[in-house]
Amino acid sequence: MTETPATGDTAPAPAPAAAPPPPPPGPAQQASAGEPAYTMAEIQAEAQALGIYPWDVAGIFGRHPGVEAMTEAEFRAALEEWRSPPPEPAPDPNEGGF
Amino acid sequence: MVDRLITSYPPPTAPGIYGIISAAGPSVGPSGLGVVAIVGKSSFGPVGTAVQCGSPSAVQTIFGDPSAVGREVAPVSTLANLAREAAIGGAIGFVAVRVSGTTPGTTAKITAGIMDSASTVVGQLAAASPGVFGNQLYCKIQTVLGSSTQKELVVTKGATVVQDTRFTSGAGEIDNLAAATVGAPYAIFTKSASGSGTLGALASTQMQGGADPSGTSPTDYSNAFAALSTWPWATLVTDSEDIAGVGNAVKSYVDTETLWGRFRTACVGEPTSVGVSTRYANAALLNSALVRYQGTGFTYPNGDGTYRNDEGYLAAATDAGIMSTLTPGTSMTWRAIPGATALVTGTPPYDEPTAIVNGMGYYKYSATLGIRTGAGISTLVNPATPPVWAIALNPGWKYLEHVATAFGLIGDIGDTWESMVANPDPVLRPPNTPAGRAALIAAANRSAKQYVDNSWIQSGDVIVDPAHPSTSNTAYFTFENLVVALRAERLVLALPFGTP
Repeated sequence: MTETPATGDTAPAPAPAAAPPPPPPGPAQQASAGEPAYTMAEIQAEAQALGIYPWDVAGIFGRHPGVEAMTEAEFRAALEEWRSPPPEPAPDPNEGGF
Repeated sequence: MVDRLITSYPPPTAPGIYGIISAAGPSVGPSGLGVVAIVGKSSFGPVGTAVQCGSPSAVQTIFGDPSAVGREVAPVSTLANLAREAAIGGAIGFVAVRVSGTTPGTTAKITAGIMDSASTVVGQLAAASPGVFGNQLYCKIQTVLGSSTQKELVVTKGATVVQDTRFTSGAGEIDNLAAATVGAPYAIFTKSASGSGTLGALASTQMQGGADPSGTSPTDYSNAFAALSTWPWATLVTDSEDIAGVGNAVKSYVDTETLWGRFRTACVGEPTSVGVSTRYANAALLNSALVRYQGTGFTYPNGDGTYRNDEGYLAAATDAGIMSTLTPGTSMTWRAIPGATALVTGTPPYDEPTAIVNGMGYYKYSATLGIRTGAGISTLVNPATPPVWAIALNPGWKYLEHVATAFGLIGDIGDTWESMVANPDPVLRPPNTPAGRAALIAAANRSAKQYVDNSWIQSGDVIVDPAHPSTSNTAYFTFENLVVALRAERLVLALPFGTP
């Protein structure tokens, strides 16, 4: 091991789950309304500042297949959805074995 | 271990051992061999905290019984099931995390409170953690048989005494009980008043009011993952079948872990009630060298004459048990599921070539092995897109055997070098001189030779990296002729019979 623990040697501790600050400026795409949009990698790079984990961002984008980038408002909405329990699934006909 | 896998030169400024994975070279064994990280719901036990357990029964003791022995649509208690299924696959240990929910659980307690000898409430006796399991607990406070100086709090579940906490009786016994139950596994007393100073007798009384956390969201899983990072384990599995959300978070998490030198793998699964085309698509969605997607299942005897369908998250847990035991030179292929009785494939059943193309793991039947794993591929169907922890991957990385061997090789050399550069006597640490680098190379090649001798790699020698001259305190090394050896698993026998 290193004498000095490398940055990130343990999982980053997220800040309390508050409303995330605006994503950082970056080489982002422009959304149709003119708002800057941010890629998954760009948001992951700022995950700690947003009070979330990098793998949260991957899961949020995974729930929106085909979406390459999100505006701040879109990401806020998706994050809120991420923090909400999913709807109850339909009954499984195979449930319970036999 | 290595401190981090990096994807560019020069390495970070901090001292450490760094690995670079590229397409020219191959590939490693996970840490925590045989240990599966399980993340799920339960009806007891600490929430959001990683707990090491040595057996499935230990998981059940700490986190409570499963809500059903089989897979349910919305199970409320799954950790015990995850551990049981992983043990079928060969897991020998567990690091378990109980997820929370948007509605926190409530803790069962003796609703009337604990009273003193004058029937005044002096405190509360509550379950050690929230959940309905606490409602099964009965508590009584009595004098220890044959003792005039000790009392005891006895907690039972059914006919079994699960906690017997003794404390000194007499003046101060209320404080003594509170002190004695600090950190107790099942029932904890919290004092609220001094009262008469002595406790009244408590006949066996059932705790009530416990409720499980509900409304578990994906973020509860990602929070649980963070609690696992500092523990040794090899493979992660959860009770979630939300492939797009939690599945992608799992993939990103094990990628992050591996980036930091903690070589991890993961398993996910979906039940056969999900359409087979959707399962193909979701398997491809999690395209990764480190994540196995299981899209089928098997039936397994419950031991009471009934059988359960082990599919979805249950089958993923079994695969996680197998994957957690992978060492250099071993693969997921031809791995029998001992005790499994039949296949669960869904309707229509999967098509084997399509499953392979999409990286969907499956089970099949073998006359000699019974139910066994099918293709040993991971879900890496597109090595052209490297993960965050590699510059590039060659097609060999679609084999979990390759992954295990590559991580093992990197890990072993990292361990060897660590013992040298961290020698307690600084004078003996290798200098960054030709002689010092030669000593490091010789040590690394001793590890590499072990891999050649065991036919885990066909060849490979550590050399000073000719493309990157050593400078200051930084030395660069690489492999030449590094080729991983895979097992012979695709055998072709031609039968050129003559005409009689």
